Amino acid sequence: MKKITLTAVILFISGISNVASSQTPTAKEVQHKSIEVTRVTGTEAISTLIIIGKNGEKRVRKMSMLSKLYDNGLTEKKMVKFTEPADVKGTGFLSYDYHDKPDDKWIFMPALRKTRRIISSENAKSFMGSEFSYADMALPTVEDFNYKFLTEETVNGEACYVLEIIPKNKDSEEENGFSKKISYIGKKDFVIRKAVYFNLTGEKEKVMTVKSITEVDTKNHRYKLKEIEMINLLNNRKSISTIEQIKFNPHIPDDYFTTRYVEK
Amino acid sequence: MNDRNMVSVILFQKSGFSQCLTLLTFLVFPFTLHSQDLFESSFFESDSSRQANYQLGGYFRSGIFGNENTIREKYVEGTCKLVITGNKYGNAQAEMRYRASNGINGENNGFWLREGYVNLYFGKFDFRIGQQVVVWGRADGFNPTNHITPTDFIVFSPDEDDKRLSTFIAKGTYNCYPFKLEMDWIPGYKASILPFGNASLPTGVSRGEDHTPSLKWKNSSFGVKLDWEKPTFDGSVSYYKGYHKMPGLNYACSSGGAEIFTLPWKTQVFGTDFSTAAGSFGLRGECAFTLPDSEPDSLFSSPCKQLEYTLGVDREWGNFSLIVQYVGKYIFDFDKEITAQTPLAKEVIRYNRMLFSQLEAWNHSVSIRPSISLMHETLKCEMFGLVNFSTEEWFLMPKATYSISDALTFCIGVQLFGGGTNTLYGFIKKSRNSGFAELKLSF
Repeated sequence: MKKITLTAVILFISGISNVASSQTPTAKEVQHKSIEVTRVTGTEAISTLIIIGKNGEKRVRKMSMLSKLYDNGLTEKKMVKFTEPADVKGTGFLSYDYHDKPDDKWIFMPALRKTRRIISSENAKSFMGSEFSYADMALPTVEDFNYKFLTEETVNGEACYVLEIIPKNKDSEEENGFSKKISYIGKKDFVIRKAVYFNLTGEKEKVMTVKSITEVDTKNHRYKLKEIEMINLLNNRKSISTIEQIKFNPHIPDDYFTTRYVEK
Repeated sequence: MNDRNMVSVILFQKSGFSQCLTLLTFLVFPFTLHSQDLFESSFFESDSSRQANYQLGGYFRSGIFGNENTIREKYVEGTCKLVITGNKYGNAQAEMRYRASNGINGENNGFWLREGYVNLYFGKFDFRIGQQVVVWGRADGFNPTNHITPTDFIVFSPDEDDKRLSTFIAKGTYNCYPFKLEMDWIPGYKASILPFGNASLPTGVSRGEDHTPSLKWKNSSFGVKLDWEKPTFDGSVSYYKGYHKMPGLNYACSSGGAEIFTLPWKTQVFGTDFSTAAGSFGLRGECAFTLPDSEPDSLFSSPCKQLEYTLGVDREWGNFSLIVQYVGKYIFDFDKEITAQTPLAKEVIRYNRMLFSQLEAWNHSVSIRPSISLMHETLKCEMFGLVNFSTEEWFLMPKATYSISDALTFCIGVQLFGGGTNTLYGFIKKSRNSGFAELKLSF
C-alpha cells in the first residue's frame, strides 16, 4: 500500500513538472536550471587567470583544478594547485563547499610545510587579487535571492532571458558582494552569457562576459564556462579566466580530496 | 672515480653524513614516465612533450639587516630547486643554496644542500627519504609538538622557513582516511644553532668542541604521529623519543682553563593538537609534555620536565585576518634558586635556563598576528607579536611585502626583541634587533 502511494506521489509530481516545463519557466526556475547545467559530476582542468591592471600591467596565475560532486550534488569538493607564478607554485587549496552550512577549507603553502585549516566566510572578497570573487567561483544558493524577469535580449548571437537577481537580506548581500545582479541566461541551453553586478551602494560595478563555453558532459548536457572576462567599471581593471584543458571525469578517486594530495 | 662518486665524497667531507646519504638516495631512484590524469600530469609529471623529465625553479635575493649604528648582516642568496618529475609511484627533488653574507655572524660564503629527497608512493603508503624539514603542529608559530628537525636561531631572514634546518630523515606515512599514521626515523643528530655564538666568555674560558652523538642505532631518534582528519575537525596525537633538537650548555675544566660546549640530551615528548571551526572563527590548540630521560644535572644542561600548551582563535574580515593565541608552560619540580659553586657554573646555569625558557614555574604568553592584503593582494602587511607576562620578554615583527611583479617582491620590516638581563630575548636583543629590507626574484 505504502509503495503504491509513493508511486502515485511521484507520478503526480512528475506530471506537475511536465506541465511546468511545457510553459515559460519562472525567473527562479531559469536561475535554477542555469546552475544545474553547470553542475558537473567531476572534472579535471588546467586554467589560467590573467589579471590586467588599469595601466595594462599583467599578472598571470596558472592552476590545476579538480572538482567532484557528493551527496547528490549538494556538496562539491574542490582542489586547486597553483603552478605559476614561481612564488606561489605548489600552493594548494582544498575545499568542501556545502549547500547548507559554512564550507570547510584548507590551504597548503610550501613555505608553511603543512596543511592549515582556514576559516573564511568572506566569499565576496577578491580571488587571488583578481576582479572575480570567491562567490563567483562557487555555485550560488538559489534560495538566497529574489528573482524577476526583466526582458529577453541577444548576447553574442544567443537569445537570452534577462533576470534581475537581488539578495534576500543584508547578510546575503555582504556574503556575495553585490546588491543587485542582472544575469543574461541562454534560452536554449540555460548557460549564463553575461552578468552585470551592482555593488553594495548600488553603483554599477562589474560586467562579466562569457566568451566561450564547452559541453563537458555530453550525455547529461553539462557545460563549463571556458573563457570569462570580468571588467571592473570603477577601477578599470580586468580579469580573464580561461580553461586551457578540461576533462570530464566522474570517477576521480575520493583520496584526491584529502590533505594528502594537497601536500603532494 | 666517476663524477657521481666524486660529488658524494666532497659532500661527505664538507657537510657530513646526512647530506651524503641524501645524495646517494637521490641518485639511486630513477623514475620512468607514464601517462596520468590531466591533474596529475599538470603537476606531478613533466610536460606532455616528454622532452624533459625535470623542472627547475628557485630565486635570487639580496637583503640587509641593521639598525642606526650597525649593519647586522648583508647577504646575497641564490637557490636552485630541481624537481625530477616522476609518476604516480614517486618523484624526487633537491634544493641547493648559495649564500654570501657578511655581518655579526662573520663572513660566510658557500653552497649547501637545503633539501634533497625522494618520494615513493605505494598505494596507501607514502615514503620520503632524504634531507628534509618536517614540521608538526597545528598552532600558529608556537608548536610544542614540533621536535623532528632543528632550528637556526641566528639566521637573518624575513622568511620564517629559513629558521628551519633540514636533516636526514626516513619518513613513512600510512593513509587510511580519516586517519594518517606518520613515522619518522632520524638516524643522525643535528643540533639547533644557538644564539650564544657571540657571547663574551670570561678570562680562562674557551669554546670547546660540541658533543655530537655517534652514528649508532641507539643514538637515533624517532617520532610517530597519528592524525585524524575530518571535514569539521582535525587533530593528532604524537610521540617523539630521542635527542632534543636544543642541546644544553656544559663545561669541563682542564689545566689550561675551562671549555664550554653543547651537550645533547635525550627526551620523550607526548603531544596532541587540533583545529576546528566554530561559526566564523577558527580554533586551534596544541599541547606537549616533555619528559627528559634524566633529571637535570647541577648545571641544568638538560631541563626539567615541562608541559606546554597553546590555544588560539582566528578570524577573517574581508582582507584582514587576525590570529590570537595564548601560549602557556608549566615546569615541574622548578626551583628558581640558582645554587652553584663557581661563577662559571652559575653563568652556565643562567644560560641553560634562558635557552630552555625555564625561568619561571608558570609562563603565560599571548601572541597576536594581524595581517591585511591591500592593493589587489600585491601588498601584504603583517605583524607578529608576543608578550610573555611571566618573564616580561616580548617580540615584535611588523613586515610589509610588495609584489612589484609576478616574479619580483620587495620586503621591508623590523624585528625587535625585549626583556630583562636574565632572559633569552633580553640577551639576543643586543645582536638581533634590526630593521630589514630584501629584494627577491623568483624563477
